[in-house]
Amino acid sequence: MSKILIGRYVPGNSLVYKMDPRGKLLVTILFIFIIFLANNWVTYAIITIFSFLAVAATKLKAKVFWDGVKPLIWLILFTSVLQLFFTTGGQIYWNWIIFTISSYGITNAIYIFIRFTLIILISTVMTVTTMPLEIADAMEWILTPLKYVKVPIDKIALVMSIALRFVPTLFDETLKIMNAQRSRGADFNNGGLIKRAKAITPLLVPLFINSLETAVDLSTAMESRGYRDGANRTRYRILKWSKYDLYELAYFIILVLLLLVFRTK
Amino acid sequence: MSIKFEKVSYTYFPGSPLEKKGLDNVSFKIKEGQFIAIIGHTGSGKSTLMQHFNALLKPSKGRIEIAGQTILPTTSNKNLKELRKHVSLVFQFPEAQLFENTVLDDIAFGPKNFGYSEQKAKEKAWTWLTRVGLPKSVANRSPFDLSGGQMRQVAIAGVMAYEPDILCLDEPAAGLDPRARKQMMGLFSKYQQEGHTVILVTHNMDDVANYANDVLVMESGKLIKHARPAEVFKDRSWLKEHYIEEPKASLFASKLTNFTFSNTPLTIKELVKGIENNLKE
Amino acid sequence: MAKDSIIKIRNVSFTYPDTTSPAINNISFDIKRGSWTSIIGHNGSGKSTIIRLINGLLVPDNKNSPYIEVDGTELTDKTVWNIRDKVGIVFQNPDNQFVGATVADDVAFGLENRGVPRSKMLKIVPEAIKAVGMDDYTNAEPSNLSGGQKQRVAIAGILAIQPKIIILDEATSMLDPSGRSKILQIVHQMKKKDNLTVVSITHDIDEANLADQIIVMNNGGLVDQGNTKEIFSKVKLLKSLGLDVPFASQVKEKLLQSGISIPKEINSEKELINYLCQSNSKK
Repeated sequence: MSKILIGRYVPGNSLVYKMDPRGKLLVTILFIFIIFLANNWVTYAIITIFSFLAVAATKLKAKVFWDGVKPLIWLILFTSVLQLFFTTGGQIYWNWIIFTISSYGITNAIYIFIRFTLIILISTVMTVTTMPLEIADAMEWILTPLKYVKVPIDKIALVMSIALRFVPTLFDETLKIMNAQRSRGADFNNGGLIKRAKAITPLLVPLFINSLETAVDLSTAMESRGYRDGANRTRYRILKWSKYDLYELAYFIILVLLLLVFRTK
Repeated sequence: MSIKFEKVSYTYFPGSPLEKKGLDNVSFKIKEGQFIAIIGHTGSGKSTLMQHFNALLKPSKGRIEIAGQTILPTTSNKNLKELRKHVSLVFQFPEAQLFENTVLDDIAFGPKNFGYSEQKAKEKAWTWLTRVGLPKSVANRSPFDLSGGQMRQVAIAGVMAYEPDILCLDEPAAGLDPRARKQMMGLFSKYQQEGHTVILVTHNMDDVANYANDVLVMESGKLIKHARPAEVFKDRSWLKEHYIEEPKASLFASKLTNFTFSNTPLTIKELVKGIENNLKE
Repeated sequence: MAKDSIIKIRNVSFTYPDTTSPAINNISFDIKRGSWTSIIGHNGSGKSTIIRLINGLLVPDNKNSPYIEVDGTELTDKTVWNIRDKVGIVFQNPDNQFVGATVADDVAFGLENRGVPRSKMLKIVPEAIKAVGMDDYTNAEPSNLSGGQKQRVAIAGILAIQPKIIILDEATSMLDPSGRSKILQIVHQMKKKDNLTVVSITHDIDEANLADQIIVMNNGGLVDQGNTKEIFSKVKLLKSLGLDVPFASQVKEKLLQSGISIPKEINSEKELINYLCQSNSKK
């Protein structure tokens, strides 16, 4: 029952869900670069609006995105505060030993804050609307060129997909063994570091043994089902581009163009 | 002493999109020293209920009195050891919990956690090693070298070795062959006759008929019936309505259309007796 | 008779590495085409090992010149992959044989391995999923399925490759009663529809009772083989091997003990019930 939301994928069917994971992954990566094109209030406003529209297009609750930002909020604030105190230039408002608050500092802090938050938001848009498996497929596609230098991308992809498939199983198993050992008087919550490290053996050994058993069973099943090394396998699940990916591309290009036009040269 | 549930509800993942009711306003009182069966379909709340007995789960609402302790939604996670010493849970396929280097050490793990001295724990381990039917020769072997059935026995011994007052078991005989199954059920029955409470979560209605003297029937998180086995299996249309199987004996009896049984036979013994009475009348 | 044997096993022994006594000791038997055969025996009697020998996951010991034939093809290094096309196995643990990320992916796995073109898979996969009644779950992930549903998917994965033989290796032992009966019902239908041969390894006496042929194993050897009625009337033998006896046979035995005479030829539940009802109306 432990539905720990890995990759925090949230089921839905808005238009973002219909986009190809390859496009989403690529755009997300490019976004991290193009955000540096913004260098004044207008461009930051543009990219913020575009990002929030993307968030809105998922049709998911704001809480989903807040959950994405929340764990990193202190890091974002810390980085912003550093900018605030250590940037000099423009008008100086306050100065104490090495700390300065200047007009540049204030704008930089705000810029950094926006930049960070938007990157997280856009990554969250991808991870909540794309199943981990699809992300793995997209990664496989991006890595395809490595095939030509004899990297076994197919096998790596199969391993990734099986690993992802067993994550929830492993969580359930962990919870079950923890409960069983708790019933036998094991204590995972109290005591010092050494005591806790010791307490984890009754959890790790069974998990390890069970995983080995699973691996043996799985390989037996795979072999029985005709899996063999070096055979030419076909693919059932393939990714397909659709018109939604064109929309995505157009949206992205418009954003880049606007940024290029309005940025301070 | 008794085990008492008062309006106990449990909600999984409250406030999230995955929110789900595990238990819904469950109240009952059972006497200690009984052999109690909990039946119901997969997902009916049997396992959720079981995990409340030793506070692996705590009620979202309501209160539980068990083994002289009270469990409330606010009960702290600390200091549950005393409770777990008296109320023990055996999950399905318990052989998955073995981890020690030797069989004996694994059986002694529980007793040691619950405050037995090293020597006393080993003594207990020896006692229960033989009581569950393992040969003494396996004591110093690795539990992972044993057969599946023997590993199950080690796991069960490891829980019985600190002699909990209340022993809860989730399908302890699942996957065992008939001989091992019979032997294991006999072990629990004997344990109950020695003055302990045994709570069995099961799908096997013959085990219910043969061993239990009190039955809790769960459906969608609710307790829909609490009665003696004879009472539970009496009403055939009610059983059908709730998709509960009958014990083999009563099913067989129902096909003997021109026979009359004063009470629905639940066990093979009762069935044979009933047939005899009919034929010899 | 030998002509319509779909599986032929001759003089096969098998010893696991690092053990001294063989898990399978010089076994020979035939399985009839189109039959439903149950292999019964207590844990460790060698039931599961036999299965792994039939599809070449294990290789017999090299003595007494062992011979294994499946659907007219001798099992060798060269034919092993052809034989695996003919034999589908559903294993015990529902989780540990679910390879795909979703139901459809898992059903497609065997087809992918055989290089079946995608256009064909798009037809076969949904059909197989539908045949086991899982069409509402085509894109579901295994973590959201029950054990019984996972086993149904495993069957769909086997149906997709259109085997001749389907083997249930204690495939229902980890399921609840409703999951178990659903699986058996599906296998029954499939057997009828595609004229499959079913081999089921089981402890469950009711499951064994579905078979028309039974093989009894003990300590790596074959103890008895025959039709179901005949084997299940050997109450003493079964009991001495620690095996379950059908409920009707138990009732018959107990009635005999308490002095009620029942003719020898009365064995199945139906026969016993009819006989008892008749005696009751006669008196």
